[in-house]
Amino acid sequence: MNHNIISRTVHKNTRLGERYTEILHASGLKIFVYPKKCSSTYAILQVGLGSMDAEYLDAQGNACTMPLGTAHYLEHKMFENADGVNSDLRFSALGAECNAFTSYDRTAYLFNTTSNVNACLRELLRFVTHPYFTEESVERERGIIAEEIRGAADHPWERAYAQMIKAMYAQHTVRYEIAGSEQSIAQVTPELLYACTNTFYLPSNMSLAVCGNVTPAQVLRIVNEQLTSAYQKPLFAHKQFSESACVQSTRAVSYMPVPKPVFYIGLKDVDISADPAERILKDACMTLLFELIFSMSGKLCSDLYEQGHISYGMYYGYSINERVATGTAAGEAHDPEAVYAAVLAYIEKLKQEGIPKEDFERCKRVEYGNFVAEFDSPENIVNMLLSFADDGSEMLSYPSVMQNVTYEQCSAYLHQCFNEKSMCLSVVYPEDGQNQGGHDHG
Amino acid sequence: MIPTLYNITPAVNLRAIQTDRFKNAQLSVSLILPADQELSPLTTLLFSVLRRGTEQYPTIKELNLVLDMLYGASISYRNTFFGDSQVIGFVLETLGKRYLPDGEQTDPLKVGIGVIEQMLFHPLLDENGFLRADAVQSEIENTCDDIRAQINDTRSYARMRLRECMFQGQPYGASLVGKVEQVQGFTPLMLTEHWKRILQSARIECFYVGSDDPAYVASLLKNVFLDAPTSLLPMQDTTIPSPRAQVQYVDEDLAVAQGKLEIGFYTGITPDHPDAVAQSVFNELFGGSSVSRLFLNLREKKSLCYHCYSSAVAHKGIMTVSCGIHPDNREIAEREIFAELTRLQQKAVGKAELKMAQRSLINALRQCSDSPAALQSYWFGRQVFYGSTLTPERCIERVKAVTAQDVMRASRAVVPDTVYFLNGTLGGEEGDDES
Repeated sequence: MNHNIISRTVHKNTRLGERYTEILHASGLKIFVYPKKCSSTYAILQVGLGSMDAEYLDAQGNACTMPLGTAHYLEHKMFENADGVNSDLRFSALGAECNAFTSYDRTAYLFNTTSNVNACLRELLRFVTHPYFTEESVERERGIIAEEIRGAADHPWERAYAQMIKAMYAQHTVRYEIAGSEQSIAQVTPELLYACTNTFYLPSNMSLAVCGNVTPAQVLRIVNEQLTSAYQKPLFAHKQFSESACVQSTRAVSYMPVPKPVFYIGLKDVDISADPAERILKDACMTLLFELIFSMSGKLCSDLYEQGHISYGMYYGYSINERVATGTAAGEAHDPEAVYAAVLAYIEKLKQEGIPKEDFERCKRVEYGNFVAEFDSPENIVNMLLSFADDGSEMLSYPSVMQNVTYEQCSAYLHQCFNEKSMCLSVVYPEDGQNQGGHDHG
Repeated sequence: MIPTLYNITPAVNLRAIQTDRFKNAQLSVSLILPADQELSPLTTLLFSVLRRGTEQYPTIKELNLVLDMLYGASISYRNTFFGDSQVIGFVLETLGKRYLPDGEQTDPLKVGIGVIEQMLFHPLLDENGFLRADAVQSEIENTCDDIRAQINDTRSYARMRLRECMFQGQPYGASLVGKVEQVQGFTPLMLTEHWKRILQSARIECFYVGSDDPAYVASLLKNVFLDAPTSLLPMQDTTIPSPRAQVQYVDEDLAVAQGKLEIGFYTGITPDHPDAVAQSVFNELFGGSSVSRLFLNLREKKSLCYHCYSSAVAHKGIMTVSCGIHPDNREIAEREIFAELTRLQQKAVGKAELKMAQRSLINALRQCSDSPAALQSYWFGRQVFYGSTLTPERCIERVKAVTAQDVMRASRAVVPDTVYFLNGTLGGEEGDDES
């Protein structure tokens, strides 16, 4: 037994022929190694810091805040090094691609390579644990991020999503845009970024997942080399929000130069179990319900399309973790209000008449196929593995969870979660329709 | 591995790679047609109508249901230009047989090919044998909505406008979807005649990646294309134009915050050109990667933009640079882009920089074998349009052999033609984001 290991578990699914090893390292880092025969190796080192952590509790339980967009700003600046050589360049010299992204609940640093896997892993672990910020470099980044924010603001789908989430939540920090605003990022300084890494960038708040041409021993050796400090417990706690089950506002509206209205339907779910097993079951049931209601194989959307109400296909899904749970369905329609009324009426009909049994079985097949399809991509495997693991679940057990979902469980969640008061409609209308009245602003 | 070629009929080819590495299989069925201002939009509309319902699956719901029952198989719709050709068709993705639940007898590939056959050959017709007027009208409206919605994504809208301006009046300047007035003029009669004509004259290219024996896939396709034509439209040769004497400037306004600068260059370097690989290395160095000159200078050093990159469109022998900027920075961004190009044309790149670009390309080439989609995207254009048998492995050898002199020669083939600027007229205003 390696003395640098606290625990080690092998997860497998023989039906799919898939397996990986989970290791808890002495530093507190969670490691997932997924050997797979392919040319590329994909790795993510993620930090449990996302835009939702703009409000958090420090080690003493004091409420703290940071300017909106700080986690994302930090992600941009982590690639800089004291010797002046950017980590982008280092990965390129190794023949690898690297990138990073910030979401509501995490910051992920990643690489994809077909050579020099060990050196890439070393660099990934090194640069994410060695912050280096200067006044000059932080200042230079402001313009780049401002352009990123402006580019996103021109995007009607992003606008519709952003105003939907604000209409749904009154207090929860999920309501804030990930990159912040031009005003909020003006407050970011090197000191702030250092304070942030000191609090959040600890191995005990990080996970490393690697899929491809690797072995657990190989990854462990490099982690042992790079992370030598003793376990340090997290210096923060997530702030709890007491959100009402009802949305703050049932409508959110804005106007842009779009030719056809873009809409998002949001479903707010505040009933989040503390038990990961219950959450994964709910995830499976709600995913089936969204498929059942919004897919083009269902009656609602195929009718809406054939009658000319919506553009082909809607984008939909549900996600849950211990901090937040939401469902969304998005599309384009000339009259989103009429589409929304049809959606609500269809849900009501399902509640009264029951879910058609054949629809339930069909959706189970779709979800099984969609899940298995992910295993052809190391990138998808790593992302999926981390999203299950982050929420205390295990990815390869998901097919059996889905398989065991009963019709009754699904029906119960339909009644429990799909209520008009927990739902809202967000629309970006064309500017020439600005005088249409009757909408309250979220 | 080079795809195996099966001549299903004189007009229909299957190229197949058999591998059990993947859980999914992918089969594309594509019609190859000449790009054309009038006919390309008509073909695009036709394919929207074909997926509205067939004899066996009369509604969209039924068409989707049969795929859902195959464990979420999907048929997506493919429509793009390769040089002066339009490539349009369907891409079927299914689970490999091994991964179906125990006891499942259906062969998803066979059923999926049957669905494609239904859409291509047996769409719902009215009593006079025309494509149904209600489906046609509804798809005309949807297509017009799509055309109007192009401005929703200003980045791709600006790219499209650049292409239209560079190739005005030429096949490559055609639009896949067309203009609103044009599409509104299409009728069920026009579509029905066009449908019959292209099925009798188009070259059809199928590409399969999956675990099934290609001979079996070929036999399934043979049943579909029993009556396929013998008289073919000639393959469109892509014309490689020469740059105009003076750079063309086109400026347009849109009420958005960020401006989009698009610059189109001629290179004349197509995939069969001796400098094709050197050109790819040049593109990596110029703006094709996050360590390229454009990324490092315009974004990292001068903070002018969030995105700035170059792309080589080898099938047409052109290159483009795309950049999202504050409208006030338009002139400086344009100046810097041209300055970087001039620097690369005048001074040979250093060893380390060249090596980095080569490694980046090699990394991408090695990944070609990692998914059915990547394999198809590597081989499809090369095989169908150039008959090339250059494997990713041999391509890697060629990348390694590229010298700084080769790159300089490739850079000197890059000649500016058109500068398009989508001016964001809200550029000076503050956003209304909550802070």
